[in-house]
Amino acid sequence: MGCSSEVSINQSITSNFSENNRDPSISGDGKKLAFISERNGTASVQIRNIKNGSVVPLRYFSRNKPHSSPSLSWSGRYLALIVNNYNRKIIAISDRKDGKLYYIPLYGNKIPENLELSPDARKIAIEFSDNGRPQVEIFDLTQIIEPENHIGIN
Amino acid sequence: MACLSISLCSCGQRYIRPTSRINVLLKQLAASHSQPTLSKRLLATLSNKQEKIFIELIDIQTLRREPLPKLNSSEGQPITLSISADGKTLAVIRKRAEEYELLVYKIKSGKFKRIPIIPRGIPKEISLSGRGRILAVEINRNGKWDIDLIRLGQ
Repeated sequence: MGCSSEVSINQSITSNFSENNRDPSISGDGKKLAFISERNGTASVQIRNIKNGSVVPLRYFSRNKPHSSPSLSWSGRYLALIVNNYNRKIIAISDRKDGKLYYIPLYGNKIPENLELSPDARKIAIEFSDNGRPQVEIFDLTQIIEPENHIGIN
Repeated sequence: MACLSISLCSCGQRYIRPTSRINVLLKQLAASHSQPTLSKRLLATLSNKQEKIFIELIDIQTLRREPLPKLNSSEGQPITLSISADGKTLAVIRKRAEEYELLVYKIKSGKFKRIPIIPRGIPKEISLSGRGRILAVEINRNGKWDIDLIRLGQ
């Protein structure tokens, strides 16, 4: 693999001849990678350990496909993504520590197109279409999930 | 079979709350915003003002717009971006003269570095780890999408 003194390229841990892999999200601690894997036309979320490429088991996400726009919190405790619920895109947040899944509706029939969790999972930034123009809004999650208070930065 | 613990919020009792001050500011700053990315304190987006797309960086707590010297003034159109959780580093994909470039930008110093894509490919989505040490890049090579992990120097 190519490298320079400052940059080293660790060729993909997701490589597989039969799949397209896209929409990467690294956990803040740099230990986990979430992404969307497309196999036979179906897009589903996966999490892998970056150190050895092993698959992290995910409950709940065998349905509600296609999935898109995964985002991990600092430790990877929370995974937010867009799922399909009765042909409508909605946001789901999985708490991998407590084994809970939250479906998050948005006011005003807004349809999420893209999202990102803050590292401490206190906020989520959501992109949606407003009369054909992309817009971004920030939402507070502290009434729904417990923040990650012990993240490795000030 | 483990008992499923699912908080299903589609009946309307647990909508998430918009954080109104930052959302009002976003609407005032530009006609549209896309590709949101969050550090612990900062929000970065692609903003469209008078049909020019540029990177906007805002402190969520103080609502102060952070300067990005050289990044928005240089040639090329940003396509997507990711900020590290510590708020020190931005990774940007930009299109410049029909070529796609991958940049890592230090917010405090305004210095940026081009990251080579080896083997050559077209980057589409990116994600930085919390301290900006690992970059995940979705890359198209010969029609197949996959994710490279790039370890960055300090």
